[in-house]
This record gives sequence, structure tokens and C-alpha cells, in this order.
Amino acid sequence: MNHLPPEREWHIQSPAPLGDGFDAQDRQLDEQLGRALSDIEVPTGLSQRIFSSSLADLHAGPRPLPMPAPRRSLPMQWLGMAACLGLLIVGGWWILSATNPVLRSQDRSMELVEVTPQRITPLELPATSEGLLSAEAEMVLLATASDRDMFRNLSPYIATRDLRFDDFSGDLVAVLDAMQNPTMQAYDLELRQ
Amino acid sequence: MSTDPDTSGFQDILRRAGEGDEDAWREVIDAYGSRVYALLFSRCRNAELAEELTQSTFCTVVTKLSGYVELGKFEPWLFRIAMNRLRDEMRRRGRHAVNVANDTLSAMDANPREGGGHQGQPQGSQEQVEQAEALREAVAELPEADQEILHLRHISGLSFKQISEVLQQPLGTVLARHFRAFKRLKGMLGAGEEE
Repeated sequence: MNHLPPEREWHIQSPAPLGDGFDAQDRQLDEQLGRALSDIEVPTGLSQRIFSSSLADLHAGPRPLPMPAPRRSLPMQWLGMAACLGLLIVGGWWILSATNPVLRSQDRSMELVEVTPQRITPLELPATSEGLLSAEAEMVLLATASDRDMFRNLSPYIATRDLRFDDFSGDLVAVLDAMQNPTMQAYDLELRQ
Repeated sequence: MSTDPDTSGFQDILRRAGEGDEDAWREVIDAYGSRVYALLFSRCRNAELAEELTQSTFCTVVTKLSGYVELGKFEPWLFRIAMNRLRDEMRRRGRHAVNVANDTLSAMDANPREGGGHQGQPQGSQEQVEQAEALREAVAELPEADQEILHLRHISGLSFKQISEVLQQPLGTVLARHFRAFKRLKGMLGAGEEE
């Protein structure tokens, strides 16, 4: 333990006396309290150590104040909050619609409405109850056929009704397609006789 | 030159210290170094920590001294920096200021008191020594905030107005706290004497 005397007395000036709410005994106690509390020894060489440690700062001059954190303006903050809220709503609706069966069925019904399948109706010519082409149908068929040569061999059979309508209806449709579509010139007409 | 902070002479010392004058800065340290140390030691009861915080306080002060413009408020400013340093350190260490009630006597005995101190007050009788110890123990029983006011008044030598500036509390609050602390202290001492 170092018992060197302190390098400097540091007796403080007496604090301001107590106010009116205190009597003489209180003032005496206050003085005793001041003596008791201020009885703290200061280490030897404290001032010199303080001076040495602060010397560099003394010559360094004032330090620049730390840069304040960038502050966003109030409108930008509100805008950011609104954007976040909008994203939240859209995201929530998307998740809800993906998991809710009612909303999913509505979507499917909308798809059905939008996409209507295109069905190709087959050529239906009036036929008799026996499955034979009626005379009127035969006349219509021959009258509308522009390429009579193609029907040259066909017409007698139709006329004599030796063929059932089902026997040649498919071929007739093919012939009609070939007539309406020039690119199908290579169509190989096969007739079952 | 006068070191009374209210005088123009001391304001000149501060100004020159702010400009980097070593002699002026040494005068400031001589005037306040011991008082800052004593206040910090009374609060933390640790000599090494008190000195470390004292040096840190003056390092902070010297870097900001050139910007100090509040005439007559140097002392509250200085001691507020010191108290803030202490609070930061205590917060960093994850504990409150040491409860002096438990540590006062042991800490006082453990720390060198080179000038004699209360261990061997040359002028005082044994009765005065015991009375001083009883007072310190009684103060240690007070709440931290009340102790703070008593330490700032009797160790730092600040007026109540300056204490209110250090603690950044209304003057009325400080006065009321001091009055209550003093009456409580008196009651404790009275009860001790009756026993």
C-alpha cells in the first residue's frame, strides 16, 4: 500500500447552506455529512495521468461530430408504408384464392365460359328409315357436286340404291372435302363397291 | 489565475484550453480532476475504475471544449459527462452501481488512502471517525437517486441548481429529494443513537 501524501489537496468549497426548512441541528449534520462523504483520498499523480492521457486529444482539436443517420422524409415514409400495405393485401388475396376451394371453382367456371370447344359437325344428309339415302338427298348431292366425273361411277350405285348410305357417306364427305380444299388433290378415293 | 468557474478568468482558461493551450488545460485538470475522481469513486467504490472513468471524462471534455459556449455551466457539464460515463460503464458491465452498504468499508480499506483518509484522520478523534463511518453507512442505505444528490452536493460541491442541471431534473424535484433524503438520514442516525 502506498502511503505517499496526496499530490494536491482537493478540499471543495463548502456547498450552499441549507434553506429555511432546516434548523441549526440539521445544518450541523449537513456539515458533518459533507466532511464524511468528501473524505476520499485521491491517488498520487492522478492529475498528471489525466493530463498525459488527454494530451493527444488536446492537440487533435475538436472531433467531427458523427454523421447523423439519414432521415427519410415523412411523405416517403408514408409512401413506403402504403407500398408495403398494398403488397401485403395482394399477397394475402393470392394466398387466400389459392387455398380457398370456392374461389378456385369460380375460376374454373370462368375458364369454361371463355374456352368453348369447336366441334366439327359431320355431314348429315337426310336418310330413310332403312339407312338408305333418300332420293332428294341424292339429287342435292349430285347437283352440288362440281366435279361430276368423280361421281360418274358413284351415281349409278346411288341411283339404284345398291349401296347403303352408311357405306359411302364417309367417302362422300372425303370427296366433298377434296373438292373444297384444292390442297387435297392427292386424296385417294376408295370406294367400296 | 482564478479557477472559480463563474469568473471571467476561468472562462479565459477554458477558452485557451479549447485552443490547445497545455498550461490552461493543466489548470482545468488541477481544478477538477480530483473532484471528478472523488465523485466517481464515491459512486462505484472502485479506485481503478474511477480513475479510468476520470481520464475518459477529461478526454471527452478536451475534444469538445472548443465548442463549449455556455458560460457559467462548465461544472454541471463536466459532472454530467462524468456521470454519463459511469452509467455507460455500469450498463456495459451489466450491473448497477455497487451497493455501498455492502462494499463501502471493504472498498475503502482495500484502496490506498495516501493522505491519511478516514483511517487515520490526524485531526479527528476516534469519536469523529466513528461518527463519519456511521454517516457513510447511513447514506449507503438511501436509494441510489438520493445518494447521487448527496454526493453531487458534498463531493462535487455543486449547488442545487447545478445538481438539477447535471441530473436534468427540475430544481423542485432535486430539492424535494434532498429534503426527503436528509430527513430519512436524520431519522436513521437518531434511531441508531437511541439504540
